[in-house]
Amino acid sequence: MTSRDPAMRQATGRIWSPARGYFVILSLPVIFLAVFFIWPLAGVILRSFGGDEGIFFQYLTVFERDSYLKVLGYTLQVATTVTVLCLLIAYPVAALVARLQGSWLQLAFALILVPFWTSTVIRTYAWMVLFQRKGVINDALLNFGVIDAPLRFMHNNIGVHIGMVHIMLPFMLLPLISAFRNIDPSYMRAAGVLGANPIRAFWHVYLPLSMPGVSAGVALVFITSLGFFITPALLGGAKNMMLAVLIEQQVTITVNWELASALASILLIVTACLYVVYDRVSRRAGGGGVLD
Amino acid sequence: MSGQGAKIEYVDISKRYGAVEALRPTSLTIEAGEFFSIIGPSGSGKTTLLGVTAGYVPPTSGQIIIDGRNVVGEPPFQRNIGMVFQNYALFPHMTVAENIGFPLRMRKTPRAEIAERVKKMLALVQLEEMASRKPGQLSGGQQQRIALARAAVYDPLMLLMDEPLSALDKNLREAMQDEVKQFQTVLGSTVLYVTHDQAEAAAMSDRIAIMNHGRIVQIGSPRDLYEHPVARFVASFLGEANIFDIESVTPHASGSMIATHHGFSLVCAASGSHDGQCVCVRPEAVALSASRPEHDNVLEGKVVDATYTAGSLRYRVELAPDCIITQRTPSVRGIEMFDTGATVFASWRAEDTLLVDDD
Amino acid sequence: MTWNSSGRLARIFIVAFTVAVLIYLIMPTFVIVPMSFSSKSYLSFPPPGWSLQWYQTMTERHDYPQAFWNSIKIGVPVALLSTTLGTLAALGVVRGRFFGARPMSAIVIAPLMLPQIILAIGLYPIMAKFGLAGSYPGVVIGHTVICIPLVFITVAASLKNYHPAYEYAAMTLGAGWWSTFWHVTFPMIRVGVIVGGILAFTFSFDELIIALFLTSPETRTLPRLLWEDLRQYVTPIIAAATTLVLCISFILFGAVALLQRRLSKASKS
Ligand SMILES: Nc1ncnc2c1ncn2[C@@H]1O[C@H](COP(=O)(O)OP(=O)(O)OP(=O)(O)O)[C@@H](O)[C@H]1O
Ligand SMILES: [Mg+2]
Repeated sequence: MTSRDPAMRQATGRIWSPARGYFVILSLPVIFLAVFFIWPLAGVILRSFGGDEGIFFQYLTVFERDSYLKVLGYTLQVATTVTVLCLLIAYPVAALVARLQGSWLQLAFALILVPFWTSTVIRTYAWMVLFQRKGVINDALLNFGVIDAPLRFMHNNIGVHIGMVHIMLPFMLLPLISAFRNIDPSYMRAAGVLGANPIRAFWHVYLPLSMPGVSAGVALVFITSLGFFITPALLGGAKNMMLAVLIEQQVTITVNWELASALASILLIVTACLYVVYDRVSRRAGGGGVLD
Repeated sequence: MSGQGAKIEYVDISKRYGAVEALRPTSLTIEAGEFFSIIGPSGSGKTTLLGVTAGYVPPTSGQIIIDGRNVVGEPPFQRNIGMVFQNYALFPHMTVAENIGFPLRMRKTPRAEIAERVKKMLALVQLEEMASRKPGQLSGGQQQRIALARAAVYDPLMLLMDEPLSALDKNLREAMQDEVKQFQTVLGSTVLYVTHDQAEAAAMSDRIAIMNHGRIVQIGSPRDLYEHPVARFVASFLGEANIFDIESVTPHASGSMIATHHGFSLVCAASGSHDGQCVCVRPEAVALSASRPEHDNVLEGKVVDATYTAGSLRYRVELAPDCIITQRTPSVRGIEMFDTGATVFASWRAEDTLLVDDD
Repeated sequence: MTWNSSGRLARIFIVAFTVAVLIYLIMPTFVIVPMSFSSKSYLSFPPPGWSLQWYQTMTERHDYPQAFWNSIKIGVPVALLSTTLGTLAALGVVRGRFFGARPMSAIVIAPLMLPQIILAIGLYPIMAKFGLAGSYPGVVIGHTVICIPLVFITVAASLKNYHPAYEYAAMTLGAGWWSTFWHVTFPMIRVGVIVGGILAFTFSFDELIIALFLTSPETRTLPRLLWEDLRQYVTPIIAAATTLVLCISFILFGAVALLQRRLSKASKS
């Protein structure tokens, strides 16, 4: 048989190797994703340059029209605020939870993971119920005499922020907790022994060591917030719209696919860039890239 | 069980990982039934050679001919070669009997025959009562024997072992050396054995190959390698060696006269060119005495220190600034010792001045 | 004040703050549960009286049961398909160290990182072209794209837990690709694969945006139905449906927690 001939086999590159087998194995999902992920994204980008008015027409529209610029600005502002709020809330909580042991730790983890397993639609619905004019929160505030008339939480900034922080908080907590658990408590003790007062020890020891968790959490929350749809759509108002909501409206109400595609392309590129930057930074910091 | 292992020939086999030449073109023949060891420092390509032989590492070039058949390009599951991995790689979710029976199951051997052969194998490694345990419930030495049994149960053409004893403690390791050797003698298999430990290799092997930087530097019997090292690396890797750099070589009545970098001259029984060579003297070949003896090579020096260990007495003597020679003698009861700082004469025969390649 | 007493004060404050934050995380969701048993049609807390009428109404309407079964009919194939593809991807990336494995793994992870709205408006025209918009296969494919990375991450973590020597050993012992996977690799990564599959099902069961674009009124999922109802009126029917979804989610959550505990016990012994 000629295929037994080694020279022949080498010439045709048919030497058996595990790498070749794994390549074939990997190619199946990659082909699937190429067809149903890469192709759709490419389609979105292509369509954003389509239309009868010229290649860059949609982008010019987006960047010239105040209303669209406002949406971009508002999206960035909400993502930033939500990220900062999440970080401020999650940091002390994660520091404490990371030091728990045994069943307390498991309880805390369960409480943090439960929201993960709850649909975003449902969690947003819960806030709608709480935020109603005659909802639980207004009732309580009225009963305690904090306010005289029911407050409006929905269809404005407050609702969107409370709802989004609620949904993004676990994404900040988990990387922070894992970073804190990697900090050896003896570092802090050592800092104490060396005469650093608690605040300086925190500033010079704890904070730098927790930075990998902070950057992972910030990246995750910020990137996810940029493309958030459900919560702003249900709790937000018509005046302040986030990008994902605008895209959906351009498709379903205005049926302007080209403009929706241009907006989606902007979101796609911003997200991808942030992701790449984060991957670089975290790999340089020695934490290993997102992909490892 | 079959009596004879296979003969294996490597022809210019090599492996490159990107820029790293893990294995440089190597040719080697291992005879049927031979116990052949490979020793060498970490990263010298020992595991790579085994991987290429087993078939899960595709070579960059060359052929591997087993009983006349080139197996390069065949997947591992068609090669019929047994391998004991460094950490045994016993499947943790299978019992001991299932582990040993696995290769037979893969060969579609009838159940009854599997049971019988597994039993025979367990008897051979003396672990009959462990058949239904999981590998996690066995000691290191027991796991080792199961791995051996699993690799041999299907009468493979040859057995590859990658540092199989390195995870065991010293006493167990020495006991296991005898067992492995015994096992090989009973089965008559060809064994390619990799180890870091030169004493282990010497105790078990018919022949040893020494590898460095992906290349086999020398092949020979344990005694050959120790007494006739061809290269500085071999000389210092196997046991201890005093190495002197050569300035010039001139012919001499009984071979050659070698001038060293340090200014003294040595008599050597062999004649050689000094290009890329250096001198090696084994510590055991050197004798120390308080007065100048009659000998081929005599050098005066000062004792730097003496170490007394079980079985041997080791001196370090300064012959010239920055030039120390090590000497070793058996430590017999009541042996007289030189003081540190004492003037002594180190002497040895011309035949013990070895010329080796500098690397 | 000394460092000690201010330290204690700070500690008490942090504990109280943590408890408050954990309550904030959990409570809103569970406020819904009692409301679903309300005897009145408005949502107030605590409910003025108790009844099961909303559950009854829910089962009597045709759209809720239909949407519920649609979610299952979509979630199960999504779990199977994404578990298969995600496991293959993890095997290829973790075990096959060949040129190009890294960019390929970036492609596999990416769907999880991108906002789903982009994928939704990208997939819709393609599905429409093939006549799959509004069909089960269409939304199954859409969800699978996003679930592949979920499975990939859990399975890759299991694979990294043990050395490839096991697979090489199986192969030298005579096992081909399939036997090696089935007898050696799979038993060792089984928990990761099952957890990945449950995650995929849960994701599909909760997902809204892809479903919004790729399902029709006949194939719409429970989240989509909830979404459509929510925008019109906030009745306790939604609370009842939500409670049902919560129950299913928590059963799955419990299953995963148990599996992972068994895994960590197994790796300790
Ligand atoms: N999969 C791989 N990819 C890239 N380089 C590799 C790979 N495997 C081995 N190498 C390199 O090939 C060289 C030889 O490795 P090998 O494992 O054969 O050494 P070894 O002699 O078995 O060492 P040790 O005694 O430490 O086991 C090393 O430099 C190693 O870094
Ligand atoms: Mg090795």
